[in-house]
Amino acid sequence: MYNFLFYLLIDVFGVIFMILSFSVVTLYLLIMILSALEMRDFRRKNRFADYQDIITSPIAPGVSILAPAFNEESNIVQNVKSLLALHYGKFEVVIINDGSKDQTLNRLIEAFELKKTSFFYQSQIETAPVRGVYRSENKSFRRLWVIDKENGGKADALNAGINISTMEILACIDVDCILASDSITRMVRPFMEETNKKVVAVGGAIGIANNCDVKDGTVTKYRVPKSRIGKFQVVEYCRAFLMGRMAWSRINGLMLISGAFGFFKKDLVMAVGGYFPKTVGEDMELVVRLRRYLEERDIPYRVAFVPDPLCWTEVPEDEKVLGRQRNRWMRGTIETLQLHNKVGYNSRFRVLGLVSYPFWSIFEKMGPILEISGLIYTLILLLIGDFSAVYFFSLILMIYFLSLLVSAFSILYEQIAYNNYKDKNDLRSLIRTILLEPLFIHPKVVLWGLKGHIDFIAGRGGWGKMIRAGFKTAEDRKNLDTQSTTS
Amino acid sequence: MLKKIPALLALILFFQIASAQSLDTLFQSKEDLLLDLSKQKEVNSLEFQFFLPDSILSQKWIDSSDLNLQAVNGGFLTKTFEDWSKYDSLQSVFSQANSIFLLYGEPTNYEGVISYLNTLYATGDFLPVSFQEQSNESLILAAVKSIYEPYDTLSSWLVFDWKLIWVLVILSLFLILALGLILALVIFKARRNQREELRKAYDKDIIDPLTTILFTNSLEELKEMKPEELKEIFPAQLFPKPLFKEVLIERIIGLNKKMKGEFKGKLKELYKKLDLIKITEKNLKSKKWSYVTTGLVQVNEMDLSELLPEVKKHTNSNNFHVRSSAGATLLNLSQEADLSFLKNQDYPLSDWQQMNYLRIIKYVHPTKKLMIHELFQSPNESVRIFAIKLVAFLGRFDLIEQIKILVPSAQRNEKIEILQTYLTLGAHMESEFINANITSEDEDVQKMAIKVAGKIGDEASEKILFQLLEETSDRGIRLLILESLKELNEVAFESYIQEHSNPENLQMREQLVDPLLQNV
Repeated sequence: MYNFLFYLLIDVFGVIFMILSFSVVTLYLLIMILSALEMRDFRRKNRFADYQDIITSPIAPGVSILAPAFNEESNIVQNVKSLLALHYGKFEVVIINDGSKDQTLNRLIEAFELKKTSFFYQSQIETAPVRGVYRSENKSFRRLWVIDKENGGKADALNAGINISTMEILACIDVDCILASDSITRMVRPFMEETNKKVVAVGGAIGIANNCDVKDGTVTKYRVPKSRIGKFQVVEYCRAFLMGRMAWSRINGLMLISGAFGFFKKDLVMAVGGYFPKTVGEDMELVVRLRRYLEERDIPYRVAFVPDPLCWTEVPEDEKVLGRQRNRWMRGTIETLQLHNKVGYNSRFRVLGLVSYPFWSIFEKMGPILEISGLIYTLILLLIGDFSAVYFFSLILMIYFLSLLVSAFSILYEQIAYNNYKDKNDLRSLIRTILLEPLFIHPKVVLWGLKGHIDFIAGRGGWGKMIRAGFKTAEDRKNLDTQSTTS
Repeated sequence: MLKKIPALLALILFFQIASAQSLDTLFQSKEDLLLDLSKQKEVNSLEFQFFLPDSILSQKWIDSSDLNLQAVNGGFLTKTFEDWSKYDSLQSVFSQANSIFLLYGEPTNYEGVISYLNTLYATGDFLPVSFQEQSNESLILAAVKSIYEPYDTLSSWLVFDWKLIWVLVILSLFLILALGLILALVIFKARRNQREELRKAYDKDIIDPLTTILFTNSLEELKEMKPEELKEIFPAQLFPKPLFKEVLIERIIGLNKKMKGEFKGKLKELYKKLDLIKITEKNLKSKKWSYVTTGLVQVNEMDLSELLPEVKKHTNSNNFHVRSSAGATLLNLSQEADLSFLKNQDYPLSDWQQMNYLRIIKYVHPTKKLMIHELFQSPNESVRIFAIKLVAFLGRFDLIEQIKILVPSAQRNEKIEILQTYLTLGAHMESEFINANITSEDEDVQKMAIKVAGKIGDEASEKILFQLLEETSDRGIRLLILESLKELNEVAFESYIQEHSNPENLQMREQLVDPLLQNV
């Protein structure tokens, strides 16, 4: 009897893994097609866009750039100067010093002639206490606001920035990001093109600045990073931003806007209670909550994506740091999906509930577990002598080819659309990375993801019991804060 | 999950041990073995024969050709038999004879046969019949063993293994698709690079003759020239090429943007004489939105007002870019600029469109008669809001009365825009509308009204604001009210703070008087 059950399970798992493998292949091919269509349309539309008007037009929306800073004393002044130099008419820069233990605040005070104001801070969204709000007497820095607050994490710092911001669009960025001078004009365009559907958020593509030449806050010469880990991330970012996000944008299924560079409608962010500070995936969680809020009210909306290279960041080239980052991303994904489990597989939430959520649950969240399970399954087949080398290697080859195809496609995509990596040596280097990535880097990424699962289960970096049940509605985050404040 | 792996491995090992069984234990005796062999019929390289001693030999057997007896020492040996199912019947005939097992033609004993069968069993080439007659559980184990196939039949195995064929087909399709896609992209990139190179080359071929003709010929001379004469200034073999014409159009449009006066006229004349206007017309009639938009941009840039009837057809297109460009072109080129195309717009007017239209309207309004008030009658709310904005942006104080007509039926966004316009134009006389909205139930309308009241309100506004200050506990609203009161009547504001000197009010006052926070 046990023998029978065992072999039945082996058969069942065999079928499941086969279905999953072919689903992965089909989905990635679909993603490639959708992203190609979206990129084609985006480039066509861009041909007819004149961005010069936005800078001075009274109709263009105001933008508040929110940049949390924690122990950034070495680069904060240069970073703020480049933010203040952006080409746009109506914008302000809000730097939130999130309880830095170094000289971040003092550097800002000295460089921008800041003075503590008598600003009456109102916590429309609950945050850690604000110690002071600074502004400059020098008119050249009239756009700058600096908030000094007690440490509460990135989401909490952003919430403080939202409370103080005065413009209708919020640009949430990492303070160490390099923004192109025309980044705001390009990112606000989808908001301005809004007609029948409310544009709630716009995501931007992130480029990798390691080993690139930067002049006056703009990348002037692209080079791929020197380390293998760095090169891998170039390929990965191309895949994620030029393919994945473009494809999701095509079907209005975007669930994630990078925390390093994302634009949001302020009134909606306020309506859902701002960022949720108790998750490490605050960027994804906010997008899902915003979408959920609008779906629950049957308001037509769109989350847009701009693939132009407008923001660059330095990525970790150390495996430990990268591992921690991936671990955090995985935990953030699990937390968000768990918080919004009401959305999953629910036809009421249309694309979000029936396509995006299941994709993230099965392929992003469960990806590492499924891959490890597949490996264990293969070992079991080897042990019981039911291992078919022909089928196994065929499947392995197919997945390897898929990986090559997707990565090569995304690099070619970059070449066709933007052609930033012009040096042939850089291209060769990226092609080598594409060939080796599935063999040497991907297994590590899987293990880091798995570690994220383990850490989540162990409660490392997680949250309290009450929240694990998930939000009943998109507005529950506000109620949660009220409960925690009153208790 | 990781903790469960050793347990899982132990389970697998248990199944492996449980399923291992030797033939020694299965065949308890020679009879069991013979019974199984008789059911097997044939076993590869295992045969048998009988030894018939002289004492039992009969003439009938000697004469039988079937037995093919061979004389040996002390008797006769029968021929070898492969079919074990005949063993029993033969044994009953030769009841007193000895049976002999033959392995690869050589005699062997019972142990030898068992050893040989064990080897076959291990390789999967022999399966005792008794195994097959057991439970389903054993059947599964039996199924694990693949049936022996000689090497020379491998080709047919490949052909008839459908699962493998499917895998190979899918793999091949996948490979073809992957290579096809990559190849397509590589070709695309190569063609694009080639196209870019060609464009550069064509541009060089265009710029010299174009500037020469512009600087050496007057507009009248150009008008008198025949199209053929003009075409001759460009390389004859290149002119018919579509890409060449595309670059030529871009170059002419580029120059047209930079030049003024007679040069614009010359460029327009060239555009028409070189038949480039036909390309524009063709673009306008295309079914692809990108071509239509390109055509509209060409009409707009080259002032091709003769194509305006064609442009008008696109003002209510369902494509955002087409109708935006058509609107911009009409505003720019039509003599009246009566904005009627906007009035009847079915689609909401986006901020992007408004921004573009505003730029053109600002440019043309000193010379053309704009019928902004007509837009107030539009059934499209976004168009009405745009009209209100235009009043503010163009400083059309004369239209304030027209705006008042909108007030009774104004929606929230219209109210906000009307308030903003009153503020921009300093319309003090409209305080009634402003004051009415200070107590609006819509928070955004209320905030805007409070803000506007601070700048252009009257004594009644002050009273309403003080009253609201007493009633509301919303800090955001209270701060706004105090700010407006400070602007309306600073003395009254200060006295209120003195009378209500709670920490919150004092903090708000601090903010409002802080020079660093002015205009926040």
